[in-house]
Amino acid sequence: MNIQYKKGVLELCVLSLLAKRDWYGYEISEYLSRKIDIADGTVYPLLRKLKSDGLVTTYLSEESGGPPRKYYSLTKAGRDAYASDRTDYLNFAATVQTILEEQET
Amino acid sequence: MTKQEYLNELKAELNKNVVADAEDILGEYEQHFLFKLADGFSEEEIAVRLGAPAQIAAQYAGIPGEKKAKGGKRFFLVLWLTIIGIFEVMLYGAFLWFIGALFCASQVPAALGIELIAGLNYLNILPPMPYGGAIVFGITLLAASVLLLVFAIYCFAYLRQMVRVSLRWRKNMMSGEALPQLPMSPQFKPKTRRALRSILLWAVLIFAIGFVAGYAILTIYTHSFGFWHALGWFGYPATVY
Repeated sequence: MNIQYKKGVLELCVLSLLAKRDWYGYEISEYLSRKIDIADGTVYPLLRKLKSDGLVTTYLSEESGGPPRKYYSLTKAGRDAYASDRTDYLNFAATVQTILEEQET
Repeated sequence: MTKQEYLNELKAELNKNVVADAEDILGEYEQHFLFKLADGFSEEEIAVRLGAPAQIAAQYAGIPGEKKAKGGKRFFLVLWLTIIGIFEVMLYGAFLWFIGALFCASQVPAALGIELIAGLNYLNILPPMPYGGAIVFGITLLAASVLLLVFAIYCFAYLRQMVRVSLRWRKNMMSGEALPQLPMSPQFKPKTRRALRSILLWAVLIFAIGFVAGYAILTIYTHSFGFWHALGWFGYPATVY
């Protein structure tokens, strides 16, 4: 699959994961790289960008045994952005699918 | 590429791209290595799966750094924390003295209790009473001593936790990344907490029972609810003893 497609939707995928619960960076990286064929290191810059855009906040949590984990949590702005981006994407994908299927017949 | 080689190269690439908070970012990738190593991957595999350092660093380019107090702002923060710190140290110092006094105070009933039980009257400070009452009151005083001692231990644990909370708060104020706040109440290990609680309960119980029993014994012995009159305590003329 083309790398440009993936980059665009990766952000939406991360927001979608965070809409359910708070995740720490490695967890997100592991989950996405198992489902989508991306380099493991791609998720961290994305998370940092989301944070600098104000869509997520981070907090550290101490786990027994091991360094503190940095958890990511959606902000109000993040929730709003996810809600509208999700609708946009689903509409867009549905349209693309219709066009592609029309072409085949 | 080993972990160290990868991180070194990433550091060089981040610097080349003038990326803010390079240390934080490197820490994140180092943690990724540690998590993956724990899952049984080799350093080479992990490095390959992360992607080329140059590509990673390029993705960080243009993301502004996190806001941390710098320059003048930082100076005022340090000044402010220092001023609060002076008051905190005074408060903690006073609390520590109080705990010391509490510990000393717990020794007094212990000494008196031992004297009563042993049938001594060192310095002639104990009022006269029959040995049956003395042994019960002796045990009661020992329980009181334990009560004060446990209270002192609780106070000390509270003080220690207060200092910890304060230090964590300071660390969070100085760095951008916040560790969770610590609870204000003292944190004992479950075993210690259970032991302290049962010691406390037993001490209260023994103190209460001992006090009532001692009172009863002396009342029976003197045939008087105001037994201290009959025994000649507090300067009353003794009629029984």
